[in-house]
Amino acid sequence: MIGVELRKLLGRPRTWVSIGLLCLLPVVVAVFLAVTGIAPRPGQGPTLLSAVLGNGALFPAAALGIVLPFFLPIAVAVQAGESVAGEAQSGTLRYLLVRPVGRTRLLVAKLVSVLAYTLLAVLSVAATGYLAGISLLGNSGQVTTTTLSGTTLTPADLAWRTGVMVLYIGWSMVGVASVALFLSTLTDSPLAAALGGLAVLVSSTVLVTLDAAGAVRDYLPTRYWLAWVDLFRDPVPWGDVTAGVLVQTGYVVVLLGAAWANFSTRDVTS
Amino acid sequence: MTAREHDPARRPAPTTGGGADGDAVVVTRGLTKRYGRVTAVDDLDLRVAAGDRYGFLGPNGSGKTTTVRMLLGLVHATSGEIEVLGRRVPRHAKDVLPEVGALVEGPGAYPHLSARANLRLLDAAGPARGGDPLAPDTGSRRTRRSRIEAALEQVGLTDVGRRPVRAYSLGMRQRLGLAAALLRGPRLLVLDEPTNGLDPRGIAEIRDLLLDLNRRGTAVFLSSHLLAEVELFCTRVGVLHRGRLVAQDDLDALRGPTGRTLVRVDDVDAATRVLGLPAARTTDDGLLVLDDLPVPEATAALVRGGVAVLEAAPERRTLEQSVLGLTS
Amino acid sequence: MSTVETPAARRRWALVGAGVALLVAVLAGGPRVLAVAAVPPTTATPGEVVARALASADVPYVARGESRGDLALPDLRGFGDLAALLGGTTSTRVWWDGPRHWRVDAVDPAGERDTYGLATSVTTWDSGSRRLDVVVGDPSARLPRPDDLLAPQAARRLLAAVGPQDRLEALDARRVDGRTTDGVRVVPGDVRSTVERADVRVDRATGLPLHVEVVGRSGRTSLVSTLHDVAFERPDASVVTPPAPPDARRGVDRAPDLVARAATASPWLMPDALAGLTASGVDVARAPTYGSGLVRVLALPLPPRVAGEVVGDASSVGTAEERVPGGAVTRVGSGLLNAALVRDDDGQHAYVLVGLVDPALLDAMAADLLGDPPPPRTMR
Repeated sequence: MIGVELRKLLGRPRTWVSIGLLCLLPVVVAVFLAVTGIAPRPGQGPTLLSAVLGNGALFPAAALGIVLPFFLPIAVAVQAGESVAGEAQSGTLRYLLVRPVGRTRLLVAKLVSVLAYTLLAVLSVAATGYLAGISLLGNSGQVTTTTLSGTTLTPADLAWRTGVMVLYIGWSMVGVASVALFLSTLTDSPLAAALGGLAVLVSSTVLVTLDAAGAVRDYLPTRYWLAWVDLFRDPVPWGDVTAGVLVQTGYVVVLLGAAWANFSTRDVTS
Repeated sequence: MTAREHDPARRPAPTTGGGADGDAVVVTRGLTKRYGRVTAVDDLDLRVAAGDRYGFLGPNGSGKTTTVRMLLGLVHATSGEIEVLGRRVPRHAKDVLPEVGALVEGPGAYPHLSARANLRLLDAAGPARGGDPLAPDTGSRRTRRSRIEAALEQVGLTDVGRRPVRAYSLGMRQRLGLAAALLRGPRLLVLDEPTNGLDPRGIAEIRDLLLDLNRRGTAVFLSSHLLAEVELFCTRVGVLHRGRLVAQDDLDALRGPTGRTLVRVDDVDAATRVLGLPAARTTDDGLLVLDDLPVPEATAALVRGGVAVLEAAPERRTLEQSVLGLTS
Repeated sequence: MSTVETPAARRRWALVGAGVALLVAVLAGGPRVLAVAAVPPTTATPGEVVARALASADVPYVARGESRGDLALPDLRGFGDLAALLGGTTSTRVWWDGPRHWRVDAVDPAGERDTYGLATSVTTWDSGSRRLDVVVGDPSARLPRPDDLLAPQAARRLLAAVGPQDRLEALDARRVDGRTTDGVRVVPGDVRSTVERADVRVDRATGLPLHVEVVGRSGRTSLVSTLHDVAFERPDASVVTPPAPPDARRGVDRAPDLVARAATASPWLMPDALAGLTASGVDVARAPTYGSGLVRVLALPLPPRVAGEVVGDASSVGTAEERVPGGAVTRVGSGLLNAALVRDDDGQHAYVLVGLVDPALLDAMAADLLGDPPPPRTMR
């Protein structure tokens, strides 16, 4: 069943279109940066972007920083919201279930498929970011790459930090996916599930900035989203990254548990 | 018709002794489904025997689809029991369903894929082993291609090529749905409105296909609101009305003689006078209806009274009449 | 859709529900229980706790700091991050090898500003502007830096200021960030102080203050600073050495900010006493601090042009300048911290007076300064 879901994912034009659009934005940004040479003012614009001019090897991180606030969560929420509700809407859910495919198995396969999509999306953005950065913004031959703390990064350092960042952002997105996947088992409308997932994110983003919500702040799903920036400090503070992984894991476990509890005995009337 | 990979006819009849229901493929006892305060299906006792062509009749909204979904484990009953192929559903659904082919409320397919790609995905999604120990290959990858081709041929979709399902007509999609149901050579076919969107010729083709499968031993549970379809195809009929089973009998019994006799005479008014009401009544098209008056005595009386008897025959109900009688 | 209430479904939901309940209980109740559970009571007197805290400057540690202030100050040109530092949350990372060898990073999602303290200089690195600035020497007056708000630094500064008229009380021992601490409360004896009380929690094992909380007269907590994830270890030498990024802009200066420059450049000889408070401080002639105990006011002469700009900025955010005999006063305040910008009508004298004191005291000091303007230092 997992293989079937992966084949569905990869054989679907929409998968590639959405990933292509995700990769397009950082490339457009890189082109503008390269043509105009105007970096965003410090403290403004997407994180790390001011540092990438003439420092193309840092662009994969900046590229992910560009798509992280909006496009990546939207793409992942749509994909995860689609998972069960999409089958319900196209009328294929009932045929899968009477084939028969066990409901838990179907859910696991859907989860793996969403995981694969997320990883594919994050990796594609990082890879296009790297290519665009190297070709448009020049590689780090003359200018060495530095951390936010001002220390110098060797290419090996940069590689493992970027790798951990890709995994961290990927896992943050799995948190988003689990919200949308749970909602996807509640409703037969993929759109409602995706929008519901995004609504949770927007609420969380609003609450994170609100001092009055300080009591719950550290447990909000988007609280540690930007902690990947910590990977580009020296020494790396692992506290927020670890906390972010734990918070996301909490959401993933609870929401997938709820999705399973709901879907296992849900009446399929689509 | 080509020979199928796993001809259901070669299967021995079930030998497991399940009491009186030993040869039944579908049995429900007190099956009830409530949505909140609405009772969709109420205390249903169905029995479909192996080899039956069972027509499950009822108007729209009578609970047919809910019942079908319960039989397939899609919807969970509020109370009551379901046995399909001798095993409890939904508890043993995963053992039973591989041997059941189903078409529920229209076909479902991924619109961007071709018919073959859809069937390949669907088949790969199911268990590799069927529930039937005598045919362990029913879901295997090795036989997938040939099974898909056979199913497409059965429903007349061999030459659709690589067109995506998006471009199919309603009838073609319906055929694809049937092909999906036939993919694993099921012992039981559960079909909900299978002729939706088909033209008369298509309907006849599908009916022939189902008759052929049934001759080879596949039981067919056909849920429909079309009386004519059921009347033409089924051997046994269950009638559902507002969630309750109001009749379950052989088709012939439901269409059987009413015990009354219809008599055509030249002068109806004279005839009623001769026989005297209420012993004799008339139908709209001018026939006398004899309830408990013996036919020889009545005709003799009419002739004596100077009324000419043109025709006398036992009254037979149409299925429509009996269903309407049951559901009004 | 609907879900059927079968025993299996109930079991599944019960499992998920129990998991969530357990998680919430542990997350919500855990820290609270840990903070007070089984903390052995202290034997130290408040005075001993204060003494140990004051002697803790050499304790090496690595930690994460968080300070939160709600002092709403207007954003004034030349005063850098002051408003953000005292009016918001600042997250820091600390590597403390000793008072002459430390590093404090103020981090935010977009970058960081790192301060390296060395024996004779302080180096700052700003990741946004990619500037590396070295300040040689220690200016007599300067604006607060992120490291000033670290719990140990703020606590030692506060406790060092405590005078005989101020009262010390013992607080119940409790845990801060998992470590057993002794608490001491400072209650100012002078009613002119805007501080209602200040609580300091000091690590029992090392004497390092881990938590400071200042409550203003309004009863509101105005400043909280805590250390988290404290590890008592000597930081790696490479970490507390300023970086040398190849593409950074560099600067070397003796005065890091407007206040320090004004203090160095002041031409006036400040009086020995104002409104009954006597002057003290490293640079008593140019930028003295008046008062004792917790009532202390920094009086800093400003160049009149700078004072004009600051008053302009302050009035643009709604703070009006008020005429007083001999000059004008602009009051900027937030309950706990009050400041007065004083401009003499002669167009030459201007001052800023800042302290955790009542605005009326600042007015009295302003009146003294305007009534008897300080003479130029050359006349001494």
